[in-house]
Amino acid sequence: MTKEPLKRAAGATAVMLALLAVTFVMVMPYLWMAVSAFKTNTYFYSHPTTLLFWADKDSQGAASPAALRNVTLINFAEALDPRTGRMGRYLFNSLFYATIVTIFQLFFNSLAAFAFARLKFKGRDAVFTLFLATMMLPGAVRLVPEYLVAVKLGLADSLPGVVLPNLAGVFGIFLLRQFFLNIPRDLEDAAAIDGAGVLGIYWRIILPLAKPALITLGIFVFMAEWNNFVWPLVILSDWDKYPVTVGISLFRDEGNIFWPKIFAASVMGSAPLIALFLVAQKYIIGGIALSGMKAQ
Amino acid sequence: MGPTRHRRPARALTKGGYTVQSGRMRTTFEDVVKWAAAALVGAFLAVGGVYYSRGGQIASNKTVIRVWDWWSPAGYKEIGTYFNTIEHDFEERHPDIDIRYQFIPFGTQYTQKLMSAFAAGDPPDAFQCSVSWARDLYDRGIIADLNDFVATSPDVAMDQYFPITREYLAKDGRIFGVPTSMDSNCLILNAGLCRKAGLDPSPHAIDSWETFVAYAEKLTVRDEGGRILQAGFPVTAIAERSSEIWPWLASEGLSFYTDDMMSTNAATPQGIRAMQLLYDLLNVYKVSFPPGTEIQADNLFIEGKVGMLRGGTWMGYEIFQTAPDLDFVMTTFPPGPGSTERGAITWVNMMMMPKNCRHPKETWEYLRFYGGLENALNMLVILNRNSARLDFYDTPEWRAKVAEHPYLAMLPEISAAGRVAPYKRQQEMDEAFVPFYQRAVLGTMPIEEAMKEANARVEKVLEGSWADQLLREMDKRAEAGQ
Amino acid sequence: MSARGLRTNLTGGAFVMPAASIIVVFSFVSMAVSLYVSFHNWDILIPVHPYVGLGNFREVLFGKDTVFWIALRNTVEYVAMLVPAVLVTSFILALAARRAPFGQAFFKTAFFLPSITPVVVVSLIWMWLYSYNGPINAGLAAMLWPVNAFTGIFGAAPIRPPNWLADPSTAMSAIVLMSAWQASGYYSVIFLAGLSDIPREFYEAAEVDGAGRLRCLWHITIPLLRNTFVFVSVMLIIGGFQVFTQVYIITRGGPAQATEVLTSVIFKRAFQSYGGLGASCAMAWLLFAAVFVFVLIYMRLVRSRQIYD
Repeated sequence: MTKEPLKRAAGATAVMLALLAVTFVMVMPYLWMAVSAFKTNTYFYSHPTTLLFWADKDSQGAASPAALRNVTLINFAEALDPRTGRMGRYLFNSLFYATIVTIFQLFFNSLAAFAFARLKFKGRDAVFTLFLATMMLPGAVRLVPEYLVAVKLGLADSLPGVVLPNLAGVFGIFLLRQFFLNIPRDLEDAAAIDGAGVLGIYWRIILPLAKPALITLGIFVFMAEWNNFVWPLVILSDWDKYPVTVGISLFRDEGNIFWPKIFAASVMGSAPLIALFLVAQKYIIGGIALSGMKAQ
Repeated sequence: MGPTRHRRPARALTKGGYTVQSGRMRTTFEDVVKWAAAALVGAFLAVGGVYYSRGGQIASNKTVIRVWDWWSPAGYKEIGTYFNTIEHDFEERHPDIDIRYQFIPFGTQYTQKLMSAFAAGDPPDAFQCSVSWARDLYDRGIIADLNDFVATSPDVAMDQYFPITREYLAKDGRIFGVPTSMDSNCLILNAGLCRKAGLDPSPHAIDSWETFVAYAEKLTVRDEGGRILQAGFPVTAIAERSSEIWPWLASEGLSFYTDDMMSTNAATPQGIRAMQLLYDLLNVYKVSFPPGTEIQADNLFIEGKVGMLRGGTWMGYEIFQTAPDLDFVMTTFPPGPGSTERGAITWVNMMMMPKNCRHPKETWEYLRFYGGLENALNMLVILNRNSARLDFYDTPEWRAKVAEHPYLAMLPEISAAGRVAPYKRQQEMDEAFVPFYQRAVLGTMPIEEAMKEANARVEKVLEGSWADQLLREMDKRAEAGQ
Repeated sequence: MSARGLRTNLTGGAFVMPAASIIVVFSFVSMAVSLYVSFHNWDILIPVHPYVGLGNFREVLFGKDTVFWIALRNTVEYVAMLVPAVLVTSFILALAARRAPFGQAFFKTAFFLPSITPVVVVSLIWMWLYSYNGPINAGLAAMLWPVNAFTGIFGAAPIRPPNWLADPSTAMSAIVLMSAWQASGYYSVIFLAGLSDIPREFYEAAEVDGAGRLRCLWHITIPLLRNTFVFVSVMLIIGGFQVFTQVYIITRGGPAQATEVLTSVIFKRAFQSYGGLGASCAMAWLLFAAVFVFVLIYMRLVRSRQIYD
């Protein structure tokens, strides 16, 4: 009996060590990027892979705390400068687009997913397959026709132009459908007996129970829209409307790419995503206790 | 935590503390949080919507000219200053015109966006274009001929510029572009390292390929294990473009493409000699870093780890920004065994106007201003770029800059010695040519065979597809129709 | 049809309508246009488009210098390696994250980070990692040293770590590893959501019955996650067939076309050659057909089912 806590502690330690190792592998590139964002241009080109400034040696070969001189905030300052980097505006734009798209997608996708998972209507499976099929054609050949459609609809260089094509997504519909299929029918039948209509079932039963899935989807959609590059690039020309992705790609000219500035901008551009994820991932853990069912 | 009773008994189904039922339920703390969050988001969207529409370019009752460029203030701060300066100056002189700059990232993104815009019939009024795409775009009949405009503005006529400008900006006498700045591939020497190795870094000191190889060998520093710490001349083996061989063909007196643009000179004896030189530098004399995808010769030069570099005349500015203590000299490539003249590669990027431009007259005013001497001097003073204009090199501003940065004195000579870069179908050509270039320089295929095969592939590319045939027919019909 | 049947159909239609209108206008229309284009010789910039029927398809499939089959083979190789790897690792990561005694939030965020890191940064880092004198090879060299010392006694040549990205035989595996690294964290989040949906009662009941961890995993967790597995695998397959950015940035399809995948060929034909849009669309639709058939068969086999009936 005394072996039990020891075994459990050993198991837990093993898991933690493994997780830490994996975490390091996952986090390292981002870490490198974040550290490099604090380097001056000169220092970055001469010491691209240094992670610890003070571990670096100066030209005399001695470890030098003066290496800390190379730590600079200038990349962040330039990135945020409204005349050059303009990250403030781009961050706002990205937040704006991503919020709109997420809200609409959660709504539209869940409606459709509910229909595919629960409602029986003619051609349901065929339509779902057709939806799924839209994901299978590479974007490169769809770009120009979609752009033409948008221009003909008068959406060039506008907010609806950026946002409209993404207000619904098959990824989301598919994800939610799989989750809805996991929800026991008994709850709905109970609600139906109580007189709830289809809309009521959707709004009162399915949505609340699918909260982990909805939050997960919300994160993914937000992230996808935040990282969207090609479509905003093509539909927008006014840099006041550029999202973060397009704005960051301007930190270059023909030959050079200004890495430290790009890193600083990327750190700022991804910080909201990380914050969002940290806040939201708690809600992905729920736990279903169907003790209520047993009382029947 | 029981449910409040209303019209009918509600069944409580609990999930992790969250109550789901079909009757009305009492507001819990969670509900308050939910409503607050929703209100917050709603407020953000409302306020944000107003802020969003406030930004962006306000409608104006002047004629709006949209100008696309990849030179963006995000790259160099000075670019912001430059655009503000010329926008201000131009709009002062033309109060009925409103210039709107739109910045597009360079590269595939720029071409993708440009092509999409043309396809949708919605191109910008003026845009900067790289020589890599310019002629192909013009061949497709979507770019405006500027001859009539140029006739009324002699200060931007072709004879105002270096002769090589005509090569890139005109076809059969039809002008389709206004020059931006003139760039050249040149040989850049790290003067400090040269002096340390006892070599003369003056521009004409290297007078032949043999001298060049000798310099490269003396400038190469290895550690005890044989690893190269400092490369005499880096040869980019795993390359994306064929540009490594262009200067060496130039030093033999040839451009990369033949004059009719239907084949390359890579399979000529000169081309094979040039490839042999590159092979030897990499594998026999070993003056280069070993091949690898991560090698970026330009950066390594700035770091001070390279003795001689195949660089560009535009790099001066970047070197000042990144490594202000680096002492460097720019010069032409030495003459090869088959030639007595020094060589370089020169090209001129340009501003273009689409054929169905909505405001051609106003756009031309801008282009004329852009190609003039005043703008060239703006580019020099603010951006350190040199112009293709001939009169530019006689100005006090230029002379002042040369006094400040002596390396600039060589630029006119380098530009004049420049051969033509392969500007037709450049991307497709590179894709066809580079695999064989790689095999040749790495030694996995004999050089002559590789170059012949590469040339054959490039010839197919230059022959063109059905589209080019169609264009030729359309041209013939247009000519006949006239 | 009965009134009730009509109402069911109308209700269903109404629910699907909002999403459908977006998808039809922006996806279906563009797909239809690209299909139309595939039957023509098409240059984005020329207004004339001669009809060629199946000519593009013939050229792409049977043409002399066609790169289609090489690209297809590379793409299938990529998918075949990536999908199982990511399915397994993301599932394990999800399980492990749930078992961490503390700091779960931290670990989950860490797993998610690769998918938030910009693609250019990921590519840069991995290019450096894979470089011939880079850290991966340094580690491998250290591990191989005793082996080489041993075989060196017999005069055998030392085994050197490969030049990952410059060697055609290893380039694709290198890219798969990088993609797996990025995708595992991303899909582990989905598995986490799925795991949280499993009622605790099942596990409690199993514990009462004396079932160990592994049996719980095999008999409870995995079957109940069936729908999630289906989703993740289908997404991985569809996404895998459309891999583009990483490959384009790191190797541009090289070396010697070892990493030339279909989407990269399609992109190049569309935007980097003149007059190739028709052929590009033809290849895109061939890719579509392959994926469609594959996924259809797959989903038939792994029928998504109502779990708790």
